Amino acid sequence: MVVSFSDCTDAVLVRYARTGSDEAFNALVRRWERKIYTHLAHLTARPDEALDLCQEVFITAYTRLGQLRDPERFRPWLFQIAHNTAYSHFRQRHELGPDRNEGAQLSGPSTVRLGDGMLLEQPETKLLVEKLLAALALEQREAILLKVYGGFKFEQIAEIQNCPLSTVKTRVYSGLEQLRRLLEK
Amino acid sequence: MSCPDRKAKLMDWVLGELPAGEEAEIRRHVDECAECAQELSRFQRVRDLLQAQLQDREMPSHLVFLPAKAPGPRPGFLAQLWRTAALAAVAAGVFLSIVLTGYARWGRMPSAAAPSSGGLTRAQIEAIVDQHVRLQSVEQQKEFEQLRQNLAADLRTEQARVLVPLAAQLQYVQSAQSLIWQETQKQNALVEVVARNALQREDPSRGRP
Repeated sequence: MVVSFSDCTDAVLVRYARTGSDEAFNALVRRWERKIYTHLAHLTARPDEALDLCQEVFITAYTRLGQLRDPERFRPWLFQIAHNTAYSHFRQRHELGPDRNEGAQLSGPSTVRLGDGMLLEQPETKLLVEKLLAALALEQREAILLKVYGGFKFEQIAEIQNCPLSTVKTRVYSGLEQLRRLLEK
Repeated sequence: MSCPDRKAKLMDWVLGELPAGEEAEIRRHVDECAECAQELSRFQRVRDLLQAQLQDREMPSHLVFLPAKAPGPRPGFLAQLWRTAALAAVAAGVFLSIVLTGYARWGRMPSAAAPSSGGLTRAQIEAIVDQHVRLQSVEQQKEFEQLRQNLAADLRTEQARVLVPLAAQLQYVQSAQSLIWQETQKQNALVEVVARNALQREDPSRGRP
């Protein structure tokens, strides 16, 4: 029986990588790069910048791997780095603020509505979802992405976003409510 | 709890965050309350829409972290080789200069048998050259020894880099096999007990001491 790195759990790969195995770290990169890239692409709404940020995330992870206390928690830790990297990027671009994006209007009427029998495969549906997400406040957008796309529990999201659990719930609830209203307009 | 208060619970349910103990209660309520049922349906549609559209994206290019140290000759390998060659060239230069000096002074190669007046005999020149060559040879040996040690160290590092993960993998395989063997033992013991019980049921006198 041959055990390859791709068969190992994150925790095992983290332990190998800590001993200096670049192959083990590359296996972690291969496993998580698309998730982090997609998350950042939705979070920034700029896919062209997402690749650079994604690279930054993994470089930070590489240099700070020794600081990860529990190797079992590699995935939330990686998303926490993605959160910090993205927010640092927003701060540099002066794109952080309490009212940023909040209440932003969609350009043009939505062509896909709830209750109209949504055609999920339509390209315009994808564009609509991207527009809807971009209309949310950054923290709301991130919380919903972490919940629906990342599949994290509220407690994990609170750790990633470094905020109380109640704040996460408020962000997700109000974000979903806002998305629903925008879709039903 | 009023219907507006249940909105958070409905969203928790849709997002898989509702505690198992509360699910039955909210399900009963939704069955009876048309308003909440409609609300639940709306949130489910939003969730389904997001889940369907938030799929992994293709990356323009993939990330690869290169090893910090590429396998192959050390960076100083060529430099050491050049230094050794330079020392050899200097030794040859010294040898040639001594020979040419002697030739210029006596107009011919010095003879070992006929010592020249005030000059070096051929034997003396040969002794000097021999000494230079010996010194040079010792230096070269030191250089080569250093080079050999560096290469051996590189080889050991490279072996460790390859063998350590391999050893860890083998350890993993061994522990997995050990677990499988333990499971098999347990299963065998269980089968034995079941078989013994079955035999006892068929013939109560069997199995007694």
